[in-house]
Amino acid sequence: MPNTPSQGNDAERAAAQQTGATRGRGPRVPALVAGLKAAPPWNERITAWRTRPAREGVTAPFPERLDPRLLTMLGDRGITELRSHQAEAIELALSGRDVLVATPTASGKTLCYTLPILQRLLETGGRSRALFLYPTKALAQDQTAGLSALVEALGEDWHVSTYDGDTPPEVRRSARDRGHMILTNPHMLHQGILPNHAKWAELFRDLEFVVVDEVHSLSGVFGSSVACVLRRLLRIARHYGAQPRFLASSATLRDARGHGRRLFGREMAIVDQDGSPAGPQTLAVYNPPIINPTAGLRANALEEARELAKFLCGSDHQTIFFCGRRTAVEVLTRYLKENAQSFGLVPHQIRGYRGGYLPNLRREIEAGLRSGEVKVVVSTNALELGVDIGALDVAVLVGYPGSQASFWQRAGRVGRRGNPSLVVLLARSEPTDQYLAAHPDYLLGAPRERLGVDADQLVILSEQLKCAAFELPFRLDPDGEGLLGEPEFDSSGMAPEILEYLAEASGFLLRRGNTYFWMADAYPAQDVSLAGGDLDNVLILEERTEKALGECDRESALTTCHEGAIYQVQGRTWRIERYDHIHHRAYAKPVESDYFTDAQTDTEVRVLRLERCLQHPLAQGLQPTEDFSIWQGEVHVTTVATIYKKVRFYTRENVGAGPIQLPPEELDTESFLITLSEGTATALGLDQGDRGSAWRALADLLRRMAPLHIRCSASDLGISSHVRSPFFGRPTLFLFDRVQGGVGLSQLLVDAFPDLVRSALAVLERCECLEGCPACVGPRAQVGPEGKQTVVALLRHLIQGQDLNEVPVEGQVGSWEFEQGQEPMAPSDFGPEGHYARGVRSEEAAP
Amino acid sequence: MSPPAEESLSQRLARLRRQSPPVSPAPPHPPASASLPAWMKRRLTQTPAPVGPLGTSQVPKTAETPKDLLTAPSGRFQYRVQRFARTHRHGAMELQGNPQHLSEVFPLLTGDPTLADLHGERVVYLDTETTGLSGGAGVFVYMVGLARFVPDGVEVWQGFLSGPEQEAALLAEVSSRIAASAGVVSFFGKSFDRHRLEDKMRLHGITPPFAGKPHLDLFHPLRRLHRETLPDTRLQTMERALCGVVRPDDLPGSLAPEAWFDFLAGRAHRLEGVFQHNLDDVLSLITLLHWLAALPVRELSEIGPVEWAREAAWIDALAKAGQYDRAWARWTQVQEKHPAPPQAWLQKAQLEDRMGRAEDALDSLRHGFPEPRPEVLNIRALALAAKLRERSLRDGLGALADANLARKLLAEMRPFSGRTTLESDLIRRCQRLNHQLAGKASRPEGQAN
Repeated sequence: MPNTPSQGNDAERAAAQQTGATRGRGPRVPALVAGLKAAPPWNERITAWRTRPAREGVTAPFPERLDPRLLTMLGDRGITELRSHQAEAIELALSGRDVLVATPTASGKTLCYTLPILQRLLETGGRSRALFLYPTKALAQDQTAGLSALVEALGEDWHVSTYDGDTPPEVRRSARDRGHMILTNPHMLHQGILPNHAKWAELFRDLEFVVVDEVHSLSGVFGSSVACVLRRLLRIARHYGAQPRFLASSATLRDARGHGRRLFGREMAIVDQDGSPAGPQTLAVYNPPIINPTAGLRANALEEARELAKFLCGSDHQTIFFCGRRTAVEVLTRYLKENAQSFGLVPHQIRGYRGGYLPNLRREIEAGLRSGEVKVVVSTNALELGVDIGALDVAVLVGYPGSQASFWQRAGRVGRRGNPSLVVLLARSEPTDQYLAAHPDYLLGAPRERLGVDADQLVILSEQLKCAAFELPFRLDPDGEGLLGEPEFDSSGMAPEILEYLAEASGFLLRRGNTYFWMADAYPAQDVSLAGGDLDNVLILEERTEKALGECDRESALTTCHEGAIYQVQGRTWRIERYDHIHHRAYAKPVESDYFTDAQTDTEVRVLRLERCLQHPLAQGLQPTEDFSIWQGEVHVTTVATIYKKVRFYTRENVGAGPIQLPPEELDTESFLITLSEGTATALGLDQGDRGSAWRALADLLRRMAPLHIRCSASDLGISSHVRSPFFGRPTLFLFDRVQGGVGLSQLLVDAFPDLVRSALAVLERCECLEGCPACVGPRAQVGPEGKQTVVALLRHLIQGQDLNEVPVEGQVGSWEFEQGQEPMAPSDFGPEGHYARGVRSEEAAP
Repeated sequence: MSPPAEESLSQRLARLRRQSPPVSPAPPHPPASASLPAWMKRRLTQTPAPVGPLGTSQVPKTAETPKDLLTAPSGRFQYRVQRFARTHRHGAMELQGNPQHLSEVFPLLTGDPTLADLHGERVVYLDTETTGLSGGAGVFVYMVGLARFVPDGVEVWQGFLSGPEQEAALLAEVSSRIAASAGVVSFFGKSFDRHRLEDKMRLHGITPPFAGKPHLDLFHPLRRLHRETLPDTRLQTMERALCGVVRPDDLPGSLAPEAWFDFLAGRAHRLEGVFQHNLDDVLSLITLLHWLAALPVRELSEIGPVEWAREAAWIDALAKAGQYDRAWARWTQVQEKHPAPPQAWLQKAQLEDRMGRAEDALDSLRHGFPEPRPEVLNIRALALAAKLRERSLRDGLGALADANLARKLLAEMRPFSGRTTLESDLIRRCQRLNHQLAGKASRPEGQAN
């Protein structure tokens, strides 16, 4: 079975063991750094060097309240004192506060929550209960082993149990009845535990702590949904007489207090002064060479990564490459395996790692990294979170991951206790990356992203209210205005009206007096996904044997599981022969392909309703008139996959294309909009010639700059542009949330608008190209001869956006409430996955 | 529909009482604050519940409500009680069982030793109607049927929620009724009814009565006896085939959620059907229990393939409990009435193997499987023959020949459940035998290929 991904080559593996299964040694890193600094071409391409010096730790004594048995147990593990932030967090937790620890990777956050929990278990004679939420199953399983060891060392018989989709029924039963510490994930809490809370009555009755790990990953739809799930959790705990406290941990955050409040609905005590020691870390920013000076085109980042690997991979240290897309992981893994010999490695020592791999394969790779057998790993953000792979030596980030938090999580993957480490940020021809290449200190500064969490987001709230009503009835206060004794869901004041709609309009609830009872033959949590969209993953099967090759979510399936798509695992290739989108299965045939595929999508956007309008007045004469406006509103988006391109490995030449026939994806969401008045559009020359592409280029630029200012990745936003919108009758740009219902990104964009425009302008002014390049507005062929100049003019005009006035939406444009189907359709498109999609931007879509 | 001209005040009140829906009218809603945006209202309206109180709104509201409902002393739920004579026939059987048919069958067929003392006249027969099969806190158990034997017959108590707010009171009553009994008999209740009740009781802080109480779930033994011969293993299939119960106008259990949702919305048109369905279910539990208890002494006059399968399952249960002689005797008794099918011969051979009668076992296999065929039973028989020859008869060559033949036949077969285990057992046996034979003789004659 040559094409089975989980089976390695035995000979390879044996060779790998011979060539040295020892882990890397620190001194290699300074040599690599010296080499990069001295040797051309590297020394020319690395535009910035920064070094974070080794840092002494700040220690603190154990809090007095800690039981001597805990101190003995820690002493046996070589822990004789705490770091300052640990001591502070433990004191706070034991004093009854909700605590959020926001310090970098590997600063010992686990102790911050395990010690208070163990202390309370000792104090209560094993009565206290704790629930742990991790973002992934893998993390929960890791931590279960660690906690069990601690409990055993204490000589107690408390039960520590993982509870996830893989937990066998008999273990589930004992976890429910006897589990002192339950480790699970938000999905299981949402779909398994809360709807069946009576089975968990033992846990809820004495639930004292709820641990939420990696809360910086809780943003967007997922974060907002989890915020609601946590409110449901508090509600159930209250029913059983418990008032648990939250112990949360996170990477460094811009506004930990605000994030904590939005996520947990409570004031959290924030611990963010890191007291842990760190080895020196070198950060290099690598900017690929310009290969086409006229077009300002830089060498492809993935190809550069392949070149750089020759220098940065080797048998006596471990290197990790981070890529943004799964396809990129597979392409780079393939390249590196094919070049293994030149690094002194065998292919089996080089592995890919991403979500969608089957669990066994992932466990095997993780173990290989821990043991040192695997020398090189190419990963998506799947290895960004705390999966235990030990600390590696060199990290190469192929492209900026979209947020400072992600950047530092990835950087935190390297650097063994006190040993030097190297992080290379490889800039793509993307505006954000190019901005960072020029402003590397942005990365080192305080975190600036805002996390988008909104537990009151109406769509999420209404879906979560259904789930909550299934769990326990809701009551209104006697005057029927607000909820009775339900502080968790009363913050927005919308809950009573939503409940009334759920009763009277959609029939999920029955109102008796002032109480709403769940009254439908349905299990709502099953139909409500936390991550927006559809929870049913698509399984990719080998056509003949029906053996699973991997999985992917429904949305990506449109572009990766269509007929003719090349599916890659660990550098091997399959071709999708059939995609059964009703049963969520794709059937693939092993092929030796010298190309991979890249799909295009087309999108249409309609305005449903406008909510906010901020206007910039044009002071002309006595009566100020409108100059431009920014808006927030609801839109309907239809996306359809159209064609795919075949791209040859290495050369990237286009070797063919094919059509995709799949039903469209529909989306009701929120959008941020910019409109220009006709006068302004004329003054800026937007009504002339081919300036439509410049208008569109501005939208794309703003989309790609957004991650610098709000926490999202560029692909969280879709764009659409009209030189003359059928709805407004003037130039309009849309930046919309790409998740069902929206998550408030549009609100954040309204607030960040001045900064967004300023940084976009900075990119253009700094860019050396004359007529546009991929690093700024796109090459001339795409934006036209005056494209760059037009975008600069637009941005210089929009930069006056500090002086916006909030104006009522009514009366700004005709009638806002369109009946469905009446408003004119506005054709448009957007490139969801970066620059690949831009080449074939449909010309016919231009207005 | 105008009222009759001559109508007394009391008649009029009675009529109005009948006509008003049994739901307490909701107080006037607070004026909707115009806070939800229109798109959100549209969204909420456009995604209706699959089955809910609005489900069958085209049915007109009705004045018909179930009769004979009593209100519990607490005033917080309703119930109906009916009594039946012991000689009452439910289907072809009377409700009273033969006291001589004692319950050794239950532990034998279920493997649950606590059922040894289960007495059909001291237990409660439990069946519930719920608003869904999914489980979880949002499912209501809105009707609980409990039958028990009383001195002069059988009493069926059916507790009923005329509103969701009555749940705790009903569950408390159900809990104390079950707690007062010596055991529980249900159909699929260990997997369903018990959990629905327990979950809801815990939710309301009521101690569930099931822990430590013998619980006979008739589904499992009946399925064991009949899964191969009945089209399915639903209660209604069982009661019709075994106890002659026919329900021409039965309301399908799948409509139970809708029937209650309709009732709550003032449309009681299906509720009487649910009461009847629930009543029939609990009465069938009684007759099925008697049927099962009579299994060891059942007349063997009319034995056909269906009965053979049932008897084979019973013989299997006896064998599993170590009662080899009794099992073997029963087998012979049944065979005298009707020729045994091949699988029964395999069963007999297995039994004889356990009894240490290898030669007899081989004889049985020869009877049942005169010639080799690529069929699952036939291959299993060959595998057993190989084992008998190797282990008990020390006939290595014969064993190897049987095992090789079995493998050859297996190669012609499409995948079936258990194939992998069977195949790997055979391969191991062949390897071992080849190895042994090679050690015994320098030239093994029966070399495998």
